[in-house]
Amino acid sequence: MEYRSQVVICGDTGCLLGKSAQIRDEFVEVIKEHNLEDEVFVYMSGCFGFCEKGPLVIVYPDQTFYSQLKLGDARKIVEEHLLKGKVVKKLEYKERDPETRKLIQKNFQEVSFYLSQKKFALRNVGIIDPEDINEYIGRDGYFALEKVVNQMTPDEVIEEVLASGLRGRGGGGFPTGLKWKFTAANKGGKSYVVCNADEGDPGAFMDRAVLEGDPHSIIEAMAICGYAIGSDQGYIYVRAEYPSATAKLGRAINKAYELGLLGKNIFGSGFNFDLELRLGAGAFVCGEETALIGSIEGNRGMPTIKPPYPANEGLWDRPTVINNVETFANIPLIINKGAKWFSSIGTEKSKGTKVFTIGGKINNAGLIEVPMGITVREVIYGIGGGIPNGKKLKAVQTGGPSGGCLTEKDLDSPIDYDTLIAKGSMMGSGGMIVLDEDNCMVDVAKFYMDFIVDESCGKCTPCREGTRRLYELLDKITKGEGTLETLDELRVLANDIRDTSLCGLGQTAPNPVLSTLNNFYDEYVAHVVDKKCPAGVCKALTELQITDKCIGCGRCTDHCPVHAISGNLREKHVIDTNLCVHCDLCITMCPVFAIKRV
Amino acid sequence: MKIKNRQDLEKIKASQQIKLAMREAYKRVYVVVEMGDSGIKAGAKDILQHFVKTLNSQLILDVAVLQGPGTEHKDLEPVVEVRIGDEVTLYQKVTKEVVDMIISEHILKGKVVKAHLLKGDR
Repeated sequence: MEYRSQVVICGDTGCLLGKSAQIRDEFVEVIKEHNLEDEVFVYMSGCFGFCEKGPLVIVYPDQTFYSQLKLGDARKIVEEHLLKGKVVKKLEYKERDPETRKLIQKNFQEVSFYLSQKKFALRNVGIIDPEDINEYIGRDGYFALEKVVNQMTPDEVIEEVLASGLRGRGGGGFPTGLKWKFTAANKGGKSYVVCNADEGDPGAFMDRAVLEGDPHSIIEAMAICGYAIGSDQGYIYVRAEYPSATAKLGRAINKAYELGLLGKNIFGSGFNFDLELRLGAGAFVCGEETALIGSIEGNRGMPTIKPPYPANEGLWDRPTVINNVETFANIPLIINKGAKWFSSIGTEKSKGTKVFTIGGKINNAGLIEVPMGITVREVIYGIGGGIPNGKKLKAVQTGGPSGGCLTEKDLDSPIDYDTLIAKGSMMGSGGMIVLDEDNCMVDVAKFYMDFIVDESCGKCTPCREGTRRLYELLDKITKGEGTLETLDELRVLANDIRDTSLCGLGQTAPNPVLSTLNNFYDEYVAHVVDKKCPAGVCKALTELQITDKCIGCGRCTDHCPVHAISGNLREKHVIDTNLCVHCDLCITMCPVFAIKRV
Repeated sequence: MKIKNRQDLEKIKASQQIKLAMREAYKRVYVVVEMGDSGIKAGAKDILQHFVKTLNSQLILDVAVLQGPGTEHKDLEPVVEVRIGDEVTLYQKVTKEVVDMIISEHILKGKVVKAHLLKGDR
């Protein structure tokens, strides 16, 4: 018997929360019940990317794309589709045709979410079973490592990476080949390869997706880097908050050792490479390379002054290459297909692709990989499917707490390292949070500052004290206690923190404040002069009001904890704003949505 | 077992070829074996299995073999549909020998097996 069909279930956290593991068990069980286990192969992969519609299942070779499955649906799919050849139309993913407005079923390869994507770093994620090294090898895995150690000199490897134009995907965008070259130049003695998997931006999970969906690509790439710079020891620094990723990585490393792809004399070339996992406690600052080094050494994760750069004096004062997960994931591809092929994708100065996680006020939230140079509009309105409920786009926050926001006017500018910096934002690790007209930008800046206050390591004063002071100023503004002078104070302090902080975290910490001040100054002014929050978010600056929609049912009166609502039955009620404590309970209780924040 | 050289990698890659090819989005040919009660009764399951087995053994990997929901030609089952691009061909009363003919003539050489075309088709 040969497998005639395959069922793949998305095993990423989003889908797992939707009970995808139980759905997998159900598939296995029902398939066994119908004696199909020799005909149908069931496995779990990494993230499909389309997290909004999870839990997701694809049936091959039909490429049928089932979305938003629940427990019990597996039985229907097995008994109808796999047994009788009838696709379960009800469970199939559907998309609205832009012209006829009709819902139509879509096969996996026709889904518009995937059409303009290009998968480099995610080439295997969602396709292979990450626990099966043979599937990785089946998709050209470890061929690049074999080619490098047996057919290329270390300098040729570095030249190839340099020629590809690959830049660091962790945020800064430093050319990867150059980093390797500087480290390799320190000849003699021990050197190290470190993978920075300390992903900490709110809303970003691309590194986790690669680690969980294709762990061997990172192992292979780190061994290649070790060969290129003359190192025999690598560390993957990953946060303990990613239990599934660390477990899968650990098993993948063991498997690679078992097959001789790590350890001594790899592919009979005499090249040795050892790889270990190092778990971080989940401090944001440990994504900064010098703090990360400190943490691996067993010290408290605190940044040090650069120079010396890690390329000269890194881990245990030895030359060290530190690259991000996504950067490493591109390396085997560059070696296999060549620098020329890689650099044919992207813009003049930003080559290849970039993985983003899009979230916030967007229809198709999820994980995407797009070629560099794609416009923001294509990402938000094409792949992302636009803003829900017909609301207007206000801003796109890129680069997380170190980045800034792009507005409506930037929609048609290309996404690459240099354009984003020119627009006052940055690529960052690739988190993209979409904000609509209901988001207050002062509140957003306050949110990021709150995050930074928590995550500042406390070593240098501007960051430790300054960010807290910035937060207090923003808090004052949202409470209606700010004046125009507060805004000036905010700007001066933000600039000071940027200029005087020790490490990248502090230097970029004021970015959300500066970026919102530059793009949404009117909104700040509305808060301090008119004492109004135009988006209706800041509670101290808004009032609850009952509109004419009120049917006088009295539900709000019954639930109000401070008895601020009064009115006769079947007549319009009123809120005493002096008594109101802004708990919003009445808004949730109202059956006709008559209560508004203005 | 340790992997020592490129040949070892090639060997593993070859062992995964059939499984991974099924997941590829591009397929040159689609073969739909109609199921339904009458189809299954007439042996459509065996026909489908024979298609898969023969294609795999010859490493013809750009063909997807699917199940169909069944047809109204109850007395002509098993019915098999072969789709190459926009061209759709229907075969009736398909046996294992006919499957071999469809693969060697139609799928590989593009020549329709006229003797087994579904009544009224073309």
